[in-house]
Amino acid sequence: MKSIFTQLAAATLSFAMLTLPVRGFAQTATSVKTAPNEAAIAGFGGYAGLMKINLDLVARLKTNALIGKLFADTDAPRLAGLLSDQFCELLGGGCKYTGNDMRAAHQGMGIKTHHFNALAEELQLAMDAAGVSQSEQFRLIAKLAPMKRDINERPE
Amino acid sequence: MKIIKKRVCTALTASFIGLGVHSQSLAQGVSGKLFATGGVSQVEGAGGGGLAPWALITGYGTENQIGGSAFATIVNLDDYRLTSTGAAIGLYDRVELSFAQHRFDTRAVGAALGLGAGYTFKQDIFGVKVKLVGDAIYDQDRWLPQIAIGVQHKKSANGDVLTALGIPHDSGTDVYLTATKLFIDQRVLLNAGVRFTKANQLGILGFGGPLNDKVKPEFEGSVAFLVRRNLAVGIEARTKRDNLGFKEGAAYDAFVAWFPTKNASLTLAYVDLGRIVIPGKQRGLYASLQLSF
Ligand code: HEM
Repeated sequence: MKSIFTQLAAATLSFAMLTLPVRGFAQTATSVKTAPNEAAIAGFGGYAGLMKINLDLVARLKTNALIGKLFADTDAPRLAGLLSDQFCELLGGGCKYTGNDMRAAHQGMGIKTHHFNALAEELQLAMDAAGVSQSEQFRLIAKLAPMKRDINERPE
Repeated sequence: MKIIKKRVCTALTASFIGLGVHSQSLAQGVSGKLFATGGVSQVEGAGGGGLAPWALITGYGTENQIGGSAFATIVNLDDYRLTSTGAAIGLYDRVELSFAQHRFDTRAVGAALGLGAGYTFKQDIFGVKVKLVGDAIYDQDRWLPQIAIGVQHKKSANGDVLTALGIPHDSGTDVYLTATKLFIDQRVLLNAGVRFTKANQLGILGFGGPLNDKVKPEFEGSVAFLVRRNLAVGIEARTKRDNLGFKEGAAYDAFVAWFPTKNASLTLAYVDLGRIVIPGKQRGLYASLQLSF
């Protein structure tokens, strides 16, 4: 986010400057709300719990030896908010993920299976740290696993 | 976010360092598979459970990496002891090459059979497995399992004794087709395979015999439950041919596989290998240590 601001400010393009941050803030605003169906994500500590896990996840990603570079400039609260909306939706919590689709969000990064798994393992550690049970962890991982098809770089 | 950045930035300034940089800077890495998803080492050296090979490729190599595993297994039966040691490499999560050596100590039975106490049958097993379709781990939204085809070429070192026992071949090649699926949400792994073989007792007692000297299909399967990411419990079954008229029956086991670290596993099982030459079922403890990367 910071780098967007820097870029935008430098370019002083007022239109883009107005629309993008608003979109970002809207995302962060939803993140403090509770999910329509908190019961479905109770095992993760509700929406607040998901947010805590994802903030921890992004912090771990930033220091990950294999993939940390990619998250160097990442606005942690924004990405954690998007991930929380997404996980909440996948788990039946009734949230609505409003970010980019997975294909668009990741193409061009050169992600391969071992990068995908590096993220998955950091997520597992973040869930461990938050005391999420094994069955709830497996429930989420089962939803995320097929997303590798869209996230991994396609050989062109 | 990157995409937004990319669009915004390309629009705003040509000097911004775009996404292309990341693909070059992302490291190759090693051991890229998820925890324990290379499986353990099957008794004939393939990646799998204890008795049955799985469609998973051994080790932790992903599509652009090489992985590998080495193992030592001891099966302490009522009247015999089988040790199996070996190693395997997994190439790009596609092809697995394995080698294992069996030593089957007949202990006191050897003397009773006139071979001498502690007479030991040995065989070498060279294996190749190729993943054909599907992905056991990631295709959680599809029914298709991961399917692999494999070959295990076995060569006994006891040709003379096998001939004396009326066993026609001291080498043989098993061909198997195996399908594996992990149901992550249910924490269950299912595996089923068919093996075309004429081996007697995995090939330890050679291949073919007076009752049958043709390759026949045999079933092998495993069911495992993931207690935790690093702990699985399960059962396996494998049917065997009775070419020699010794009423060689099916083999079963109930196992616990534990990964204290990503690169080491210990599998303990209670096995029943059925009748082996003498009356009574051969049962006992199976212990296997595996190191993998
Ligand atoms: C199941 C796995 C994954 C999920 C659910 C996921 C989800 C997301 C989401 C929701 C976004 C935000 C999209 C937006 O801005 O609209 C995002 C961005 C991103 N993802 Fe992923 N992702 C996954 C795997 C990965 C992997 C394996 C990598 C790299 C190794 C990665 C790297 C990134 C990066 C660098 C961004 C941009 C972050 C920023 O600076 O804002 N993702 N991801």
